[in-house]
Amino acid sequence: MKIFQFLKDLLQLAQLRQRNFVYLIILIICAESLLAPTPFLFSWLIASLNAGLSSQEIIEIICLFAAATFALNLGHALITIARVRLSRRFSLDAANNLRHQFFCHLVRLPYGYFLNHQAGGQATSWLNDIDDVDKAIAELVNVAITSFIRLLIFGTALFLWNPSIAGLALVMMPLTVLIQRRLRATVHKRSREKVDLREALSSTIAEAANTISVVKSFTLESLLHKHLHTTSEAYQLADVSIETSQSALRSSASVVLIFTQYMFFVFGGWLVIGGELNVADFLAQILLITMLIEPLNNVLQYYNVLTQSHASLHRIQETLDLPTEDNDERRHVKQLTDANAGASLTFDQVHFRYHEDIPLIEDLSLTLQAGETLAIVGPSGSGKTTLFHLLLGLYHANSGTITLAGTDISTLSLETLRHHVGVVFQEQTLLNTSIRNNLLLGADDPESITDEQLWHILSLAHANDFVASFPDALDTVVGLNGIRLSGGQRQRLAIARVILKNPDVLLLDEATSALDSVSELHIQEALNDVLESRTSIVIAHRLSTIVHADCIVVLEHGRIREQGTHTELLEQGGVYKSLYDAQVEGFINWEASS
Amino acid sequence: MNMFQFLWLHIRQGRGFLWQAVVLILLMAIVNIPLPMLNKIGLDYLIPAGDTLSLITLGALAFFMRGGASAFQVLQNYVVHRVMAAMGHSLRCSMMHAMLHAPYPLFVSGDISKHIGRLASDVEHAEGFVFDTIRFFIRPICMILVISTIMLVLDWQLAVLALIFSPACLLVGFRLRFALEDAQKEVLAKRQALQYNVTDIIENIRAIRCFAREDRYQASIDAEVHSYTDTSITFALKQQTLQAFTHIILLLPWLLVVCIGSYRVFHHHMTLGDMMAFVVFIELLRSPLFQFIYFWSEMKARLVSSKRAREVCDLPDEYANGDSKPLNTGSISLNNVCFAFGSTPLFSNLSLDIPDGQRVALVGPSGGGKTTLSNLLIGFVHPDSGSIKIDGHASAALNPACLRQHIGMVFQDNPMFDGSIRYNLLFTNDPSQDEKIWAALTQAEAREFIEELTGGLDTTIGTRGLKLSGGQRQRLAIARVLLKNPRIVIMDEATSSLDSLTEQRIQQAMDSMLAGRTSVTIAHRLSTIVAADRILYLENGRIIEDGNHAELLKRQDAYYRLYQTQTDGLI
Repeated sequence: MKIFQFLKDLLQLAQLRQRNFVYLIILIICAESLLAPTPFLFSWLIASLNAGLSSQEIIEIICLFAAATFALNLGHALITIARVRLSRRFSLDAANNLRHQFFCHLVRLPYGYFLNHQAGGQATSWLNDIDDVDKAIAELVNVAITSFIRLLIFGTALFLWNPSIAGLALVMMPLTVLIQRRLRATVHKRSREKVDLREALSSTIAEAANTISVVKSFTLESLLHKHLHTTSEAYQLADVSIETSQSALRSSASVVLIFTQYMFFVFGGWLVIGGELNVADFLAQILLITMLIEPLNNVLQYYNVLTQSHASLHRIQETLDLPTEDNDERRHVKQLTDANAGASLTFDQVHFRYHEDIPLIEDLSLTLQAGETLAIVGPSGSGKTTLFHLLLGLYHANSGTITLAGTDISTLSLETLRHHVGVVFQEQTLLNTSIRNNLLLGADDPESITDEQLWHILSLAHANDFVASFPDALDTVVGLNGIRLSGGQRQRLAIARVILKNPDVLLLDEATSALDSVSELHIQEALNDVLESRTSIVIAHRLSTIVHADCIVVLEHGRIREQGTHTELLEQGGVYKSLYDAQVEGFINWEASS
Repeated sequence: MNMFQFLWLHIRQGRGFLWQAVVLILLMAIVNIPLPMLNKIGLDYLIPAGDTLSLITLGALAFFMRGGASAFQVLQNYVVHRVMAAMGHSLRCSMMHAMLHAPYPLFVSGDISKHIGRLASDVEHAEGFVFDTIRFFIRPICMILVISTIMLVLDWQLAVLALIFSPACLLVGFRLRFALEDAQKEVLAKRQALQYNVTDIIENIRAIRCFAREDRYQASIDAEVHSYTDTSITFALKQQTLQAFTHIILLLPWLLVVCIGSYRVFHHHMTLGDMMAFVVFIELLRSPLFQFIYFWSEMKARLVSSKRAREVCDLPDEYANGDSKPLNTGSISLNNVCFAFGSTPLFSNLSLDIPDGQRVALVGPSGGGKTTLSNLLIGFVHPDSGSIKIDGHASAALNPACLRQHIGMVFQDNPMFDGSIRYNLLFTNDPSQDEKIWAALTQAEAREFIEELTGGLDTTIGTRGLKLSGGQRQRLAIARVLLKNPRIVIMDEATSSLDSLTEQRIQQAMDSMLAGRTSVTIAHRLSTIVAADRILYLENGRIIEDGNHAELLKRQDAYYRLYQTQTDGLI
């Protein structure tokens, strides 16, 4: 049965240490056994009422009964409290295990995964899913196992006391389970629907917030609201359907229990009439049966919790089953064989496509000696940024090899590869933390970096002025996605942190596009010093920033159209020449006409 | 409007079900409560009389009554949830409506994102407000009233004794429960911190990847999970202690009834059946008491969420005011406009006239106020004083929707929706206007790359358009402005991420788009600017140079220097 498999999965997650689990069970058995004598004491009390005792004796018996019952219950309470530390630790360990495993996995999923999913918006539902599983594990011990043990103890007591009545109860129980199976399927299906709808709702509204400039300038608010309204309506219906099925589940269980109870009342009464059972035992057994109801209900309810968390764990499992980016066996090289030789780069017949039918990089071959600067130009969509993604191992070439310092990067561990390669992208995201922490992303050993070093690096990136102008300086929190900073400021911080990282190979993808010409010029100078000693690839639209490159490559449709130095390419009179003309045309035309 | 009126406004959406719910609850109480009396009849009369047949009848009767009650219960749950879901739906829609229509600055400051993160749980809690009130307040009160009445009728002395304990139980229960609340708050706060952290890391995954710092951030999540765990354990301990104590306290009335009852039975002051009925009644009283305690302690959290939901609904609606007037020309005039970010003034008394059809380029260093100026024009932010007139109408008196329909915008980073290309252009999935779309795409130089996609206009382009390159997105953004066909176009660094060749081609398309329209272009690249009728050099919120390319070059001042840095190395 699926649900038992799931239980097994849960226990596996819990990685329970058997000894702890045995202690736990022993504690539960002790606690629950303390509750079992109550009906017997009760029977004793009622029986003594008709035993012809004196008033004094009855008072004594009553006091004894009260004291014993109270003491037993107190004992139960105390043991339960003692047990909780153990059991909650047990369930949290399990859930944390899952949390740890999940986030370990998540941060290592291939980059493409994050592009295809509303990843940021999903954090909430991931955490909710794990909470569901947490709850399932916590209640497994606190509710399910406890109730099950109580059922066993009380059931056994009843069976020993009056086998025929216990038999009756036993017959009824499977009936309960049978009725419930049908409804459960509905709940399961609808729960999933509901979760999906909830996700759709939150991602739609989050998307609206992310695209707010477009939403507002095109006045799309009503349109989006209509979408949300429809989704919310579907969510509402799924919600009602789940809750109704669940309450039907609960009621169907209780009807069977009540039926058992009254069957017992009639049957027991008949036994009393026939003289086979005395009234005191009859009443005590009724009490015992009543005491069975709560744990039985708990066990059945736990089934609901399981069903719900089953859907959640399933979804988590789906994510966990996705391969991580570093699961490739070949990536075992931890050190560049000849690190001192400098970082030369070679592309050899590299092919790559995101989708089956759209080739992005085709048959690309290039060699770059250590310390050289390569500039890539070409129309947008020609594969420039993709080349960087390949070089960083964010995506993998479909065929062909890329070698760094003589080592095929597909054999390098991703950590090593990225240790040697630094990058600044055009659209720069920052973590919602202090500027200091954002810079320290570039430091291998963040503790050893002093503030002076940080300020020095900031000044190299021409970022010291604006950082110093914030009241909190380095401790300024930049806001979600660095929203409190301008695009140019974000780019300068990104440049600063890559300078701090000090990689052998530097990739700049339109790194200064959000800056005005004057700031750009300054940074360009700073970057020139940085670029001097290392292998670098620069993507830029402004030709003024790349004319000094050792080699310029013109990419078009993922193929190299032209290759050479600035002067060589101008002489060739090809694409580069026309790009160059296009860029200076505005002035030349004007100068011609003036 | 107080809190309850606010909630009632949304509960009303399910009012058709509301009265049904109340009727069902009453029916439930009526059917359920007299059941213990049947036990008494069986014990006191039928069993001593040896009347088996009547006993069976009694059993059957009791069963059907309870079965009926269970059926009512399902029905009641259905109805109550209809009310809740309708309310949740109404509240959710209002909240989302308010968020979407909130002024632009609230989005930039992150206020809205904060609300979005809490939307689902806030609505759930506010819904719970209704559910709890019905299930854990109204129903327990009905139950307690009916049960106490029957007990008083049966044996008023024992009833009084048993009932005296209930308020005492309640009091102790409340005290313990409140002790829990702080612990619970801490757990929730830790949980939220964890969530923010995870979201942030995911949003920055590319940077973390490229620096190979997954381990460091994994460790930070682990640390947060651990502190969450520790608070959770403290909470669980307190909770369990509370439960154990409550269990003991609730045992007391039961013990009392059994002990005193037995004594009275011994002295023939009451029958065994009465006593057993009392025992059952005491059991029945237990859950309403529990529900009471639960209700009061949850109420606080529910109210906090409801308050927050209300805060969201009360967000200013920027479309609420202003008239819709037919705007014809694209003339813009700024008169003594002042604007400050908090206490930092940006514009003071900025005046500017742009006649209909003029092409204006804004240049100047970052932070000079170029983007703010365009945000002022489209009504994303409003001047602190002074006026902006579009086509002679004061934009403050215009409905923003009307104003924005008149103005088209292309941004530096043009976000796209996670939908088809068609949807991102015309905001509809209806293909009937595809011809128009293709025409616009041709004009924006975007036709070629879209034709290469197998899905054509139906191709989905992923979250924030990440499957497209910056230049491709830029061209789509231009195409969608072309489709909108506004009188005024504002371009904020619209071509900065395009390569020169594409830019040149788009430039031609833009020339034809801008012809006859008023346009304000922010650009760093001079080649984009040169073609403008008029160039404004903006520095520190002031226009320091105003004129066309030739004029400004002749001045050999700020613009001239900009020109120099740009063409340096090229010419």
